[in-house]
Amino acid sequence: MNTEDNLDLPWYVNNTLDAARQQQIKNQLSQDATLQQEADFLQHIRQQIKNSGDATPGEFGWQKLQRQIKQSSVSANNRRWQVFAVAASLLLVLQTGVIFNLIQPKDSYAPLSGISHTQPTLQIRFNASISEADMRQALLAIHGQIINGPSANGIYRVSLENTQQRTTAMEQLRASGLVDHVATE
Amino acid sequence: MTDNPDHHATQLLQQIAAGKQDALNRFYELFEPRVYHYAMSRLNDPFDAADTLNEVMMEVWKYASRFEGRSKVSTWLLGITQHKVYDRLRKRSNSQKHDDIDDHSIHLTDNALPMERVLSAAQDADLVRRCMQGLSATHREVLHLAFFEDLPYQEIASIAQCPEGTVKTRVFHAKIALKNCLAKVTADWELKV
Repeated sequence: MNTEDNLDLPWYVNNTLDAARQQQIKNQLSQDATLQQEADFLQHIRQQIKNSGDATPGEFGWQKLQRQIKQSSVSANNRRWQVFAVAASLLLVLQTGVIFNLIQPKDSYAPLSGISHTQPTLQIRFNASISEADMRQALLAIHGQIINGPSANGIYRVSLENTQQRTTAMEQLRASGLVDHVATE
Repeated sequence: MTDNPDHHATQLLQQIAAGKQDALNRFYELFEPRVYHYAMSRLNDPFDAADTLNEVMMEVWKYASRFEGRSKVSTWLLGITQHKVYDRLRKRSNSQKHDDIDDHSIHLTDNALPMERVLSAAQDADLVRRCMQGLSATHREVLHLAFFEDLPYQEIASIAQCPEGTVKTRVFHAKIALKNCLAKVTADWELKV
């Protein structure tokens, strides 16, 4: 029995070989009883497999599929609404921001770090021994506002309304004895 | 409607792609048994096979427009089924792993089999069914595609995504495994009698 013929036999049995090969095996079968037995065996198996079809889900399967399609279209619609809702929310936030900015007076703009750096500032380092209450009192007295600090070496940057006030503040602080360093920037 | 079944199926796919559910219904009626039996041949479990059928038809509903006509509709569809079945087999326990062992590692022989007895047993539907269920998923799959679907080996290779030579050796080994099983079952039965 030829191995090639034996390997091609299933497709001879299901009749899907090209005509030449089909005829070649047919000829071989008439001369080879063992090959013919193999072909007979495969014919029987083919017949049994064709007859063995189990019951399929049929109408139940179709109904299940329909339910699933319906559910998927509902969830797709929900997703569309979610996208729309998120877009509408973003638009509302944007609109609120624009309106808020339009009604704000220009002089209310300020950097997030505090007062604009164009204002006169002082560098101050307080004495290590003074309390927070003393510091607060000193800053209130000079009408200063901390815009930065303390740095690693204890320096604060304090802004003042104008240069005149800054000069006065320097004198006041030096006189108070609460600071061991005060300088303009 | 045309006489060419594949042309008809292609037209149905075009209508499904346009969102027509009645076309999907006709497509379902046309291919449901083939998809289900193919899934069943590998999974050997009617519930898993029914779920796979459902997944495949959902895929058709969603992606019918992706069919490019480069193969027959049935080949495309059974290819989708093959992927779904493979995913399901992967999720199964490790016990499934032996199902997909390399064919070359199987050492089977049918030299000493009593062929008359095997031929007789091959005509007994219950015996054949019992032995088919004992085959590996890979062997059941190729036998199903070769003898239930009557597909040429080239098309089976395309669906199973393996070389054509592998398809031939798989069917060859499946046949020997079946013959061995039928010979053993009938021998056991004769001993009991």
